[in-house]
Amino acid sequence: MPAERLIKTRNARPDAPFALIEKQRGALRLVAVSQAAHLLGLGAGLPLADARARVPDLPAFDADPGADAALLERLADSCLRFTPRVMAVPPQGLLLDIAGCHHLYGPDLLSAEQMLAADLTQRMGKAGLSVRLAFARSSDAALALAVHGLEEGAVHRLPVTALVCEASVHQALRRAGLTHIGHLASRPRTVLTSRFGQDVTYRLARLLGEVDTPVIPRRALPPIQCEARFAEPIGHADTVRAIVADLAADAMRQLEERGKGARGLQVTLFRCDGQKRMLGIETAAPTRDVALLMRLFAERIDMLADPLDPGFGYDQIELAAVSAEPLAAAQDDFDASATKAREALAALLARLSTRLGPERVTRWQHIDSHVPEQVFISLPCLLQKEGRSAETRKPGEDLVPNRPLLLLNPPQAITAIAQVPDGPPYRFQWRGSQHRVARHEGPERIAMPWWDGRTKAARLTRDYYRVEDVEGRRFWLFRHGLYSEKADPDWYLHGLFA
Amino acid sequence: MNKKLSDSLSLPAAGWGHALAALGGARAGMAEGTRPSLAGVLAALPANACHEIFAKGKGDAASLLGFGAMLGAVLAKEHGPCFFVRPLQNGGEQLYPPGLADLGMDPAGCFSVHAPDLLAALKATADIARSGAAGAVVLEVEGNPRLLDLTASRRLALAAEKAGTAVLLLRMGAREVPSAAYSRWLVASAPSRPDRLMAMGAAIDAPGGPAFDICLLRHRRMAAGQSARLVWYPENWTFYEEDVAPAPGERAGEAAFGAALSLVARRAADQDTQRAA
Repeated sequence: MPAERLIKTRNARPDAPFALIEKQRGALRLVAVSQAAHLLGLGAGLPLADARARVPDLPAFDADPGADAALLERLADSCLRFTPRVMAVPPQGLLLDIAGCHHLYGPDLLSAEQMLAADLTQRMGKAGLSVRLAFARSSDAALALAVHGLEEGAVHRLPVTALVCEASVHQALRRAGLTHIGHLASRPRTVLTSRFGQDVTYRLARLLGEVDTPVIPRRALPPIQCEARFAEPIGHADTVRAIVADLAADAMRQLEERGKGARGLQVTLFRCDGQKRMLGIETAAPTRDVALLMRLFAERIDMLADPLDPGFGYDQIELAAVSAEPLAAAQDDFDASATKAREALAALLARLSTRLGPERVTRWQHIDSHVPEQVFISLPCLLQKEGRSAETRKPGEDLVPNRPLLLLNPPQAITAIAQVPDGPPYRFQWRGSQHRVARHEGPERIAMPWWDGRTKAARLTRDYYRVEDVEGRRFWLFRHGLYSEKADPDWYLHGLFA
Repeated sequence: MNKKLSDSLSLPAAGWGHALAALGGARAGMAEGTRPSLAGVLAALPANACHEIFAKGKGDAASLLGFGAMLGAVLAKEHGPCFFVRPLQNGGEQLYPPGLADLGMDPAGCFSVHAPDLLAALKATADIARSGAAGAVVLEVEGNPRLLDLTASRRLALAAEKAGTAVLLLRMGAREVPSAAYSRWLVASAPSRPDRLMAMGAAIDAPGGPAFDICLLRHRRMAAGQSARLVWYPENWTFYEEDVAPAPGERAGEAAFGAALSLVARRAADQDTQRAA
């Protein structure tokens, strides 16, 4: 295939010998050769120098694996005409699952298969490509048969190299006198496993069609999209709403068939003068509740900076489920109020997020870090899946809070006086007022992670103190830097306790 | 007011159990000549109502929020998650989940909503209260904005009553104005008692747990004007009252009490002038 691609793109002469080369293990080696070069006895893996010794002035081109892969992908796409289940098997294979697709060529299975093969070969031939085809009951067998040029049902005559495993295993099998798959198939599997490993028996089972190998289809399920077109443009808001509700109900039915629920919907309104307006809504949990979606849609329209202007009316409305998640028909909890509360919460979050923007309705997620300002992040509720974040500390574990209720971010610089250089603050000034420390606890020493690439100044160790001033206000202060790190460390206020 | 109270007393006691208990407690306390226990009043507050909490001074923001969060947790119980509706930029002061956890709450069960302006915040609060999905919603309001008038607070109170969600209005730097709140509190930070820490062998001068001076400014079912010093026990979500016996050098315990009394007196004077007008 690579050589044929070159013939097509570079206009290399199809009947001339040439080779594609790549630098492998320090030497230039052939990775593919043209048909003519193959007849001259050249093959992949041969060093270019050896090849040139046999065929002087053999033209050589650089191999381009990327272009080969792209060509294979294009070919896979073009094979979608035969079956919707096509899988590209790099470097040169295409796997077509034609179960249930051959009736297009005729009622008789065998002749239909032959006609399909002929059609495929002809189309590929037109594209300048040669094909080796094989039919088999399992995908691995089909690939192996095609590679080794055998016909259907000849799995037992395949050489052991058809097994996808390491070369050392192939060699070991050959040394044991097992040259063909048939030899392996007739032996007890336990013996093979103990001698050559689990992988060999697994690959053998795949080849013999004893294990099912899935074909990963190229074509995903089409996205759910519903549209309504009107002979006469509509402009009335209520009509628009009713039609959107109809489309939503239709989309929800389709989603139900797939066992999914909508997380995001997009409504596109096409005005008859060619303008279009897109409105997106998101939900907190997958849903198929049309009433809820319509409430969100109304919320979305209310929140538009410039209101909807129907102009001379809309002549097409389209509704697409842009994101969907599995939503099985769930059984209600034994306690029906729990289910109801969960649904109410999801609806509330979706509504608030639609109105204020998803980033403004947040929930905390714990992060494994010891840097005070990094132990959590606020994530939009809409982005989070169900399930609670893991919190290392149990609520109310300590009798006295160790961490403030309010965090000042960034920490605010204060001027503080300590009685001894290394000691707790004795008095400090914050926002223009003086605070005299009555009680204190500390230091709690928190070192910054050395592995993150901040400047040395930002990586100073912090000595945290919990202090209470004479008026009964509790603060979280820190000295930025040990005396060994900095001559005159600054003080910062980082939090306020209740 | 008197008529309403008698109406309520004639009702079967089921719906009014809490209020009656509080009332009874208050009466008993008064009969004995002691102060009614504010911790008891707090514990008996109805969850389906709007409560207002005022901060005493500029430096009491953390105490205000802490008290609000604790009261929210008490009122919400297992009823649902707690929502914090906060202005978008609050001087760089963020709620800190580990701090919430230290107060006994589960940060994973809390949601924060950042509203771009007060109108959006009020709307969001009303929506949360009305949905019935939340146990409590805590709204912070700075100053005395015109938007938060009697109508707005009445709306919140109705939403709270209908769905059984507690609405807590935290008022920072605000004057007391008429509102539909069921109860109104004044809170200031108070010196902590390190007793519990010392029992565990900590240093004698370490700061203790959360402590507040609170004053009841208004209550629909009882006379207002009492004040107390409360401490919070995170392990059982309970406020306990402490004796206010100021140690020498500490701020006088009567300070908050005095301020509260002056507020009550001022309000009485206001009402008198209104009546006169």
